[in-house]
Amino acid sequence: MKINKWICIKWFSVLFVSALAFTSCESYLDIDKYVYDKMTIDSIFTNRTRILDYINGTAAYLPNESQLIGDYDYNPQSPSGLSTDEAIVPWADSNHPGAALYVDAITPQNTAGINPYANYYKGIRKANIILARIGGNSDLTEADRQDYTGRAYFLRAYFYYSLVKLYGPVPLLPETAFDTDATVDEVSFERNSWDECVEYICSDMEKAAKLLPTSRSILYPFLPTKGAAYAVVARMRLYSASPLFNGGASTVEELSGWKRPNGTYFISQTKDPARWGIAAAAFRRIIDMGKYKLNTWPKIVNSKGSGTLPLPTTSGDANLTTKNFPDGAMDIDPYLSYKSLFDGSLMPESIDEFIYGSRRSSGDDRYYYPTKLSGKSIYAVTTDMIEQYRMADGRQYNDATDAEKSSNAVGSGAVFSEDYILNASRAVRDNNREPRFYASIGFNYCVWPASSYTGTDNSVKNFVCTYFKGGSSTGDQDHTNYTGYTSRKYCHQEDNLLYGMAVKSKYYPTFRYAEVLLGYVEAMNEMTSTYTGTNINGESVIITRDPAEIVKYFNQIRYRAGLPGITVADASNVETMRNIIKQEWRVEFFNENHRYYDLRRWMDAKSAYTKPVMGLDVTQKEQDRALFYTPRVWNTLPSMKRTWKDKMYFFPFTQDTMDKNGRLVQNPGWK
Amino acid sequence: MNKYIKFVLFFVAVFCQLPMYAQSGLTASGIVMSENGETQIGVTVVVKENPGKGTVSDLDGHFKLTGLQANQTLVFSLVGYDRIEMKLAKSDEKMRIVMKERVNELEEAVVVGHSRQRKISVTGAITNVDVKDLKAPATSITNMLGGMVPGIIANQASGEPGKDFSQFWIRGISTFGAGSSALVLIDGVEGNLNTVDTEDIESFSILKDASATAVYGTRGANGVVLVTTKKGVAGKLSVSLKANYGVTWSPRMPNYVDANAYASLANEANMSRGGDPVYNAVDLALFKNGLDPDLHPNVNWRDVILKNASSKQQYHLSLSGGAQVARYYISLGVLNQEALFKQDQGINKYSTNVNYKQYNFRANVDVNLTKTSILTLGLEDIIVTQNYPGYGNDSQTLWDAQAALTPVTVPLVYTSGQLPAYGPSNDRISPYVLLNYSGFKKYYNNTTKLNLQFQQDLSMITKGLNFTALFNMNANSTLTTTRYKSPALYYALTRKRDGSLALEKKRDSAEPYFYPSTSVDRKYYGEAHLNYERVFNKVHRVTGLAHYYMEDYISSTNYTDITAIPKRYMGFSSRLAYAYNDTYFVEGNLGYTGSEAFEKGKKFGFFPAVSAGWVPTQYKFTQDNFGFIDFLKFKGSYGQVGNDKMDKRFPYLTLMGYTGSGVWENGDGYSETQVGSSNLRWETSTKSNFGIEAKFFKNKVDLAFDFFKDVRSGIYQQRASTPEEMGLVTLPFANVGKMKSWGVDGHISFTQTINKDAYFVLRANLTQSKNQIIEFEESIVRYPYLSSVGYQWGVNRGLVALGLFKDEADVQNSPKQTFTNSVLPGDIKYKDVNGDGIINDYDKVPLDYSSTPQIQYGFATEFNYKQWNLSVLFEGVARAKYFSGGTGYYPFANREVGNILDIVAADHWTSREYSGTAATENPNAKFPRLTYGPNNNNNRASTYWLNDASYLRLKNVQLSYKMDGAFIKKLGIKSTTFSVIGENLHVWDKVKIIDPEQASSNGARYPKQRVITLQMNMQF
Repeated sequence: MKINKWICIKWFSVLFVSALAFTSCESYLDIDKYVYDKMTIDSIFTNRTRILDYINGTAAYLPNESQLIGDYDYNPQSPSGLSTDEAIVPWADSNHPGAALYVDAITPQNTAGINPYANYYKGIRKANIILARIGGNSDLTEADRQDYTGRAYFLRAYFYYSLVKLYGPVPLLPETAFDTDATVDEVSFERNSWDECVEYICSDMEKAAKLLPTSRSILYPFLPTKGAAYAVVARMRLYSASPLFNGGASTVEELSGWKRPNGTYFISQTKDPARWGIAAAAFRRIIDMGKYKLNTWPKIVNSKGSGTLPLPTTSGDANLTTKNFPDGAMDIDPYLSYKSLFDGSLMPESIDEFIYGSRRSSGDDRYYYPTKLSGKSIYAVTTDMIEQYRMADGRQYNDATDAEKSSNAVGSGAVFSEDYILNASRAVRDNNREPRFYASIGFNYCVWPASSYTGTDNSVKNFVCTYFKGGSSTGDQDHTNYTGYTSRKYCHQEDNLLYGMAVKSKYYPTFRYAEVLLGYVEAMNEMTSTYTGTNINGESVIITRDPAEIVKYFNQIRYRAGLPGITVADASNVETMRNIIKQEWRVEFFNENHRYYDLRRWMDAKSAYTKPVMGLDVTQKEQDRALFYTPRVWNTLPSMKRTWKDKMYFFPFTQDTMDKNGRLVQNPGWK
Repeated sequence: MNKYIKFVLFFVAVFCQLPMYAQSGLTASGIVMSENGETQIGVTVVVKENPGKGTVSDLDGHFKLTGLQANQTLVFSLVGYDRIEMKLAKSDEKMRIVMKERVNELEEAVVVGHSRQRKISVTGAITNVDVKDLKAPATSITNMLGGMVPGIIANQASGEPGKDFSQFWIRGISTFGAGSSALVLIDGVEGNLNTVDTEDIESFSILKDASATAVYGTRGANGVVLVTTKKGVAGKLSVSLKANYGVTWSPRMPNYVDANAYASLANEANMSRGGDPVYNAVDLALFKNGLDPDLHPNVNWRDVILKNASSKQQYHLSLSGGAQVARYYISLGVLNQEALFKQDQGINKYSTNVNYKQYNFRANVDVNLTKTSILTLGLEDIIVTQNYPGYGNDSQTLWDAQAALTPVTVPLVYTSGQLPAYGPSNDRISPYVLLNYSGFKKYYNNTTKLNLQFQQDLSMITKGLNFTALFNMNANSTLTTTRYKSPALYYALTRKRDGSLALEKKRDSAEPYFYPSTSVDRKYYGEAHLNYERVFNKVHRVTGLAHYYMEDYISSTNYTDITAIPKRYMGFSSRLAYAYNDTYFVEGNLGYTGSEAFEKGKKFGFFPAVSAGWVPTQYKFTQDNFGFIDFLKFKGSYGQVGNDKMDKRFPYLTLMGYTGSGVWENGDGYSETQVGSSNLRWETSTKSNFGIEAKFFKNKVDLAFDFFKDVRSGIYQQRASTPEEMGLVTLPFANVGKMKSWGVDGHISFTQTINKDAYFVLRANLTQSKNQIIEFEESIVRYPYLSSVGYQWGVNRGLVALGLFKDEADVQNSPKQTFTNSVLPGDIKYKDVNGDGIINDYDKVPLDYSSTPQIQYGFATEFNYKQWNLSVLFEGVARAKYFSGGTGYYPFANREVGNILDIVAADHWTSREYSGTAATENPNAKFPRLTYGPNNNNNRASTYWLNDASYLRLKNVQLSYKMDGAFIKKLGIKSTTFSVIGENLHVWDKVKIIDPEQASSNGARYPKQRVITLQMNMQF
């Protein structure tokens, strides 16, 4: 018995010890060894490359602003010029959300594919994570840390900026990313006011500007810089000073009295003229950086007669032809100076005008190009827009004589700026217009050189595009250009959409220096009192409305375009100057997605949208030329029935977004 | 050592004595032992006829008596053990007497978590199922639980061999999280109930409340099923053989209309909405007279692919025996289940019928290493093979195909010999081709389990203490070999000018294509526990348990680096119970378990539970004054258990993947591919239970009822409805849901002895489980009734149908129904619930119940007369509803695809314009106005299609005759039982055309089978 007992104890001990051997509890359940090499959020912030990549992953949520139109393959993340009085297409559906907007086909249940809301907040969350963690231990150099922190501030502010531009005021969140198990109530925030949003965005951008470098390596031209941060601030300040956000909302039935639950207004209902000064200073600051200037192309003189288009001599502005840029245009080719900004001739790093932007997506191209070149040719620029382009000597188109507006053929061809071919059959009305017209607009008998073509079809190169009934680029009801004009702004003379042919890679300037000049001039024009503040160098800056200053900066844009400048007399009258400035915005930034926002901030949208859609009469055949060139009202298709409702000041949140946040209130008028 | 030598010497001695002849009288000698092989000292052996003659077994359990006469009876007795009487016919000098411990009612033990407990002291909600009741020839024991075991809600959704198992829930569904099914432990280790041979089961317990399951910690919230398998019993070799043969058939299958009726209904469907006839007069005539079997066929596809009946055979052989050193239980089981499909002989040489074959082998061997320690080796192997047609993973493809293919679409084979295909994209293949021409698939599965257990009595340390360690390895491997092929398929729309078929090739033939797929998984499981039980001063009974376990599981089917991480558990648990004089009981249970699924520092959690019991019948006062009450116990428990089942592994990890840098063009970007959840824990179930157990009138009436409530909080939900401002790149899981369930379960039985040859038993049981969602992650609800909160989980939701539109005026005067452009008389009219003047999805309301029954009940009777035994079991469910829908219920919704139920022909609304009589505009028709093509107004969930799924089933009738007389004993057989068993013999319900358990399918399912089995059980 005794022995047995000892045997038992022995057995028991062996088993007990072996059981204990397994008993290192937490470590048995620990899975670190399996996920050690995997990227987790903690491992990101210890290593420079990973931090950089995480910031890049955040930037991946930035909108691609160069996508302006939309198609079955992709959707733009914002309405664009197609949602304004610039152009029409034959359809108004979810593939063409812009058109859906201006015919009032958008509803919170169906926003025609425009719904970037959730993605922008994803970006904001990630930016918050970066800002919270980037200060920790890692192998970042101080310079990197500054740059990366700057990028994170820039990102957060840019997402908010993209939100408020589209939706108006939005909820501003706490700066710590929410816990994933936070209750719905804890993460349901109400919308802040417009002014709070703007202040928040500007404050972040100011922080970003302090940290970001002034310029970037040519390898990464699309990374944000100090100037980019300033530019966003300036645009925000300009918007905030503009009528809609500066008291004008009180005059719109839908927006007047639009209050937050605490009784304050979402959008200020009283006018504060001082905002113009703040805006002017924000633009001034960029001018004072001295880094940026308008893009110019040297004048071309050659023996073949295809050099720079001669400058008008009858304009009454002697500086134009006698002084070098920026005091005149004697030494530049205005067409190429403007055109090369958009057509891929130059890369962004070599353009002094480029402040911030991205590579341009080529998806829109097919809407512009003639069917012969594998396009659809349906993007139709309204004749309203066409008439904004001045005559070459600076006169308004409407002030031109009937003979100058004639539908007759010019009768002789010409070539300028080396490769711009004017066909002899072009109408007189499309002749002798300012250089930006030729850089931006495709018209009847416009020649599309498509010179990269390597095939054997002789009719492809130097294709003469006509929009007559039975013309060279017309299709059925759904595939026709309805106004006789299209956009050629982003088309290079070599580009050819045919399969296997070349299309030049292009960039899309989201912010360019022309905006800074025009914004500065606009803000200064509206100023009623002196602004005093400090500039980037800490020096005091005093800005007052000075007609000479307005002329100086405004005329840079005019001279670059080869147009005569304005005079101090023009600049002295606020009203006159305002109209000049608005028209300049419209022409200089045609199809650059400014118009949608400008019409709203100026509160000009109602009148613009309620004007009938005008275009040439493309139902006419070539032999009825005079009838073809007589502009008519286009209202035959649903997509042409442009209308305005005050709810359109702001894009609606989707119903889904609304259903998830009980504190979110829909924009006024949307049901 | 000494002991073994003695043992061997003893046998040698016995062996040597064999040749000796008895001279003056007989000799009886041998050894006396207990059931687990321990030799018994001091057993009194006397001669019944000569009480003066006797002896007592010695220290080694030996005894010897000489000078006995034939037919004298030896009586073995020992205090605490059953008396044994042995009639002596001739000398027997190697007798092995096994003394059975006498179990008085108080000492009856039940299996509880990690140990056994005396039944009287159980204060948790535990149902101990009498294994005898589970022994019908069902494929899986799960099919016997519903209506049989209080606390179980079960449903069998398929009758296909190999898939005819029941899904079951302990006390109903109590979570809407990822897992609501119970933890099943076989011999202590998680296992699959479906492949356990019922014959091998020793005990079967269901643990239901927190007190019973707290020791399982994070895995016990949905209840626990404990199964122990049989062990060897010391004694002579005992052989038992079971053999049965059953015939199975489908008692209910939906009937579809024939070609003639189909064509005229199709015409009506299209014409009643202004369309042209689908078939012209010539077509109709040809369908009727059957003269053109190629272009105007009339095929009953169901009959083409189905036999009327199939068979099922089951065999089970077990051997058991042993002695002091070792005892064994070895069994072999065979299940061969044929399926209903009718292969066309001569087309191929292989079987595509989904026949299911299962072989079970089990060996449980107990070895006494020392007098106080036992080593148990358990070995189990299960081999499963099954065939399928080459196309599809089960027979569902065939069922879908026969439901989809109308009698008029294509012939079996064109008279010119080609096989048909049809449908807009030519991907529709007839079930005949699928069954006979698509090659075959073979599924092999092999599961091997090794169970090694060591038990040590530690009474030398302190009395009542013992130690058990268990190691288990479970390896499972599957091989599926697919040999797919496809013949060229044709379709003919017309005839050529010469009258031959204009056959068009729709699919090229596919050469035989072989594809093997394998998967393996294995699990290690180890546990150790200390049990303590001791009675102090005769009245203070103290029981204790300390338990530790760990588990590790990997599977080749998890092929991402995250899911392939071994799944591990670890836990400590303990129990402390005190009983005073078997009258007052208190018990505390504590689980401290961990799971690898949670982040560091949050892997472990405590799960406490307390319970108490009171047995007033222990008082003398009660016994004296309430004599009719034999036993009464009140018990209650309260505690917490967890559930760590999740759809996703490691949701707490934030994982990264590559993106670009978007418009910045700055190289690679990282973004979260999984946003980690913060503070994720397991679901917590707070359970309370109150129960009564009682016996009355000399134990004739026996009842037990438990009332329970389970509040499940912290249910995992993916945060699909959080504000978009949260900015989550992927939606994480969080413990945000909450649900409660409550109800009652219990049983009552009445046993009456008529005379010494006859008795009968009446039994009934009931389980009721209701639930309600308390918190649910959902978008802001526009109308309160659109919320999940406050309603039963899975409640049927749909529109409220007000009947059929009477006439055009009725349509005009009713709110606009937005699902189609227009509605006509005879279409379903819905109620405008929110009063907004239109009928849309906002008018969907929660309707009655869900498809999972709230109540399941059963009642049974057993009548015994001499060797005859008759038992009858009824089973039923109540408070379950389902939507009819899909092919069959939505006639012509897919135009030329989809058979038409014969009840459509018999009972649908037909406009007076079409029929010429107003009488056919039957406002109570079962089917609305027909549509040829989709009808979004009629074909959607509404009360029109909501039907009652409750039923009462005559589940099992068993008649058996037991032979144990002298005649068969002469053949060396202890007893033989012959039985006739009928299963699923009748159903009373409202579904009618298909089995109510399959009601929520549209009838295109392998039907639940009716089985008549002949069975023979033999004991040697």
